Amino acid sequence: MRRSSYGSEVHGIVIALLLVLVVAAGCQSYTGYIISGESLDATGRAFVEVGKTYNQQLDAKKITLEQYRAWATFANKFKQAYPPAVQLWKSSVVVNDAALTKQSRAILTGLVGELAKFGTVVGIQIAGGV
Amino acid sequence: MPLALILPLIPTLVEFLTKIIDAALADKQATPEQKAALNELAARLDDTAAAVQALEVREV
Repeated sequence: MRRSSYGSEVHGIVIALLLVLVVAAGCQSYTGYIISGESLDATGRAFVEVGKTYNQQLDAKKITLEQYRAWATFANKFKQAYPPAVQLWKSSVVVNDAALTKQSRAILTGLVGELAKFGTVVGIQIAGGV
Repeated sequence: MPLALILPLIPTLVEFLTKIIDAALADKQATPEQKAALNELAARLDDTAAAVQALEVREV
């Protein structure tokens, strides 16, 4: 009888500790937010730079219409994805939730690879990622 | 492992985990300067998002 009482206390302590660890793990450090936010910002700025270069090179007839159309399709997709990614990052900072930051990264991760490929077409190297 | 062997270790375990959690949470609580930096970054992201939206994408 006494043994089962100790057992339930131990279980209670273990469960409480696990809950605290889970909550602590769900938070993200200041450095993590800065890194993810700077990454997001750099990706957005790289997109704008690549886009302006595509427009310039289209005017200068240095790229084909097909190349520009491929870019335009991607660019419209990126323009739709970027604002929600920024909003998720901002929300993750407000509520201190690392999971939201991961969602923000997930939105752009696939697009960053494509952006890098489009960048090389017009001579822009994009380093790193989200 | 018998419960009698585990029970004496619990206070030490709790103390150890508490120190780890305190250290982790201390790192995760932003100072006023860090909060200001995050706000500045958030404002910059708004500007970048606006620039992304403003980028001309032509229909060719």
